[in-house]
Amino acid sequence: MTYYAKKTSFPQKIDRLLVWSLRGIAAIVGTIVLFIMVFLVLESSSALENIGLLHFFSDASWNPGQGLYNLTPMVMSTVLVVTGAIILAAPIGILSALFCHYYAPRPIANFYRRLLELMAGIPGVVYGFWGLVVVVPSINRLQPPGASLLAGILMLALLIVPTTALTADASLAGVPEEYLQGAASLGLSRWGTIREIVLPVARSGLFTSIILGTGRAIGETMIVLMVCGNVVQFPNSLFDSIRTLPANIALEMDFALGDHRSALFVSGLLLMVGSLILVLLAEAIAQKEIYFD
Amino acid sequence: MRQSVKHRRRKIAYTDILMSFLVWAAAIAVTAVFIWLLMDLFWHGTGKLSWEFLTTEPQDAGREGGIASILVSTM
Repeated sequence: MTYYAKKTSFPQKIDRLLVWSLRGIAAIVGTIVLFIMVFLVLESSSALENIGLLHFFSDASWNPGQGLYNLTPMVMSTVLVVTGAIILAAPIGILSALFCHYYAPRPIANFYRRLLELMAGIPGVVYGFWGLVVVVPSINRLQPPGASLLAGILMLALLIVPTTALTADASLAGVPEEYLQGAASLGLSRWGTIREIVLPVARSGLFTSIILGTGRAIGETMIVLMVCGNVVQFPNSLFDSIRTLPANIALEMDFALGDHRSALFVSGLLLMVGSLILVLLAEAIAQKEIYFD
Repeated sequence: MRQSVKHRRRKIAYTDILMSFLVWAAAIAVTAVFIWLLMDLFWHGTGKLSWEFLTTEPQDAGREGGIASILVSTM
């Protein structure tokens, strides 16, 4: 087993300085996150008192000018666009990671990894911009209007694939060499090794990569703002315009006052709760390492 | 003494070939879309890129002039 130094064994002054600085920085970061959550809850409390949580799901529509605050179409749109993006991006990301490790010659694998890292670094705004200029008119030729759920799903999937692929790539690198050598000695084929040995061993890492991708997709504002049409409605088909919760906050925060502003904070709180659920899911799935040195 | 050798028909691993195809297809698709994006950006963008674009202020609400102050803010 690996040997861990006891946490109290810091005889040198410089060690103690480092440890307490790190603890201080971690405490500051934790406090900032806590402040953000407390601020969200405080700001949304006025809407929750005046309007009541039930009205956020049972009013006629989202029309703050008339005091109607139904969040359900936007929640549904967010869920749909993120689910669609994940359904597209998770297989492609995992296949890309398998490509880098087991199918590609070394120089091609390295080139592909650099490409993925470059894609991961591109800001979402560029994807949204390209989507607006290329993807939306193409969908428009198929079925007007072009700004639709489909455009959002495609661009979000394009955004998520690099993050998912890179995290999956890292978790596949953690499969021990001995397992692969054992599989080779048993005469397993390439896909046989992957299906029976690699995927079960790297399973928690792969799930984590998918959850990371979901988290990124939920919060992505600019892409959905630019390509989804921003109409508050339940999408009846892939080609309907939608508005998601982050896009709604970005659009209306500038001029929202009073109850409207508080209602936007409620939608932010919903998003935060969603992310919290995702993180807890990731914690539940993550296993301890199952192999020993 | 020579043993009699049984010849068996080689089994073709169809799943393996299919997965190979899928994996390569995924990688090529991702690369192709990214290169499409880059080409679009370069094609439509490099014509306008120039030293004065990077160093003059935006004018007429961004319709003319450059991006100097915006670039500095981003940096």
